[in-house]
Amino acid sequence: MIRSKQRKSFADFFCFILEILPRLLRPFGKDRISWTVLTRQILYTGFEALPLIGFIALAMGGLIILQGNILLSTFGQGIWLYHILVTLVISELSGLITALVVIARSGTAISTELGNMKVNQEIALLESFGISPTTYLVVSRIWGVVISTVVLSFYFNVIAVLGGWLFATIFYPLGFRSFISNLVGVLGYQHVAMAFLKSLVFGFLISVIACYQGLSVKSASTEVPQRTIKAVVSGIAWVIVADIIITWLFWMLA
Amino acid sequence: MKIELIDLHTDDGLKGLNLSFGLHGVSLLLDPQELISGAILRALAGLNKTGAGKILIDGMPIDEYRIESDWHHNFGYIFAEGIMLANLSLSENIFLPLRWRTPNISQAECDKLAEPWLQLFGVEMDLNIRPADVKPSILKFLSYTRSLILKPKYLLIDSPYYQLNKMERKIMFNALSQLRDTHKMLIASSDDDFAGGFSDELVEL
Repeated sequence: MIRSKQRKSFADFFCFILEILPRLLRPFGKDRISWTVLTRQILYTGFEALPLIGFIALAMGGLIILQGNILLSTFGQGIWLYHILVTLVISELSGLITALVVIARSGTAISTELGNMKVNQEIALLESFGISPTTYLVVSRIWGVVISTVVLSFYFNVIAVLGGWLFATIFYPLGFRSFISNLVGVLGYQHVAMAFLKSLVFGFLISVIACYQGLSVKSASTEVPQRTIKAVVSGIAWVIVADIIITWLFWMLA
Repeated sequence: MKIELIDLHTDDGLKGLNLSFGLHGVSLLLDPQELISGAILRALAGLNKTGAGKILIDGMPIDEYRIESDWHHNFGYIFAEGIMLANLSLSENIFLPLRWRTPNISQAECDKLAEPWLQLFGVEMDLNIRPADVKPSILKFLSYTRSLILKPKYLLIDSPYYQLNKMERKIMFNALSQLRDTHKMLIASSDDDFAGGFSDELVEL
């Protein structure tokens, strides 16, 4: 009985994705997205997360250089620091940590907000005016979160590299230009493509899951925190699964 | 216009309802127990799930009628609670459907359209605040304004007196008395004020 319910819920989720995909690809059609919702989502998810992402990125870049330098300088293999920085930070951590921050801040907020809107009949209000809640609320938010996640991930990379250089200068004098040219020498197009693709997919998954869980609230306000918890747990799980698949795909292509 | 509900079941309380009534001037669904009149309006507005049965308007299934009659332009459904989107200001709320339909409309034009309706309901206030900062009766008046600036021919009004005190009920009654000359209305109410001389057709539930 429980299994059949879970299967239905899983099927519902994919039906939800199938419903929004065409609207996502045609955001400026007759059934268009809301610029107000989109810009506010970018403000909350992207702009307001910059200090936290910046702090984490600076610390991550610095700590990786610090730990790597202690380990690798013993063997005279300092050049591998750049490989570690590129592989760990640009290919893996930037997307993953950005995604976790976006889940914690915006995934929960979206799920809670949509859940409360359902309880307070605000969704029904939009329907009564012929405004599609899927396009107005969901598609606009998905675009906002995807754009924010891609930009935050890029920002994370820039700050982490800067943090790495700052910490490296503690151990030995290293010019910024020399640091960057060594890093660029190691950085391949596949690293950049992987980082971009991951942030794109993570942003999409986080926002779709949060919207789906928020809109799954039926009528009681007690369902809202339950759905928010589901949004966080599912979001993390899906992001990690997607991360593994994308990394594996790039590894296969390489 | 003739509305027929045939063996109608919905997810919010209608179970095998059979009802037929006209909508030529003001029709009142008088429901002293407030059990099903709201659900009938929601079913007409397409806001609840119909499990079984059907709704016919002038003999045509309502889904077809909605497409043919350009439903959202001709019909305005007004919630009993005066619902507003919590994350928008009052002004953004009032003009949201209008701006959605006519994206290039200016704020001055919007204000001009809203002004007579705000006067009708005696609302004179700063509209740049959030709904949470305003009392429910004002939200209710503003929700009427929001629907009326869209110029619908038919108004589906759920519990006009809900959330209103004695003074505000007078304002609402006077406003609806004026609106009955220009709009066709289907009112769901438990109040006798709208029975008698006010309504052209009375449906007692």
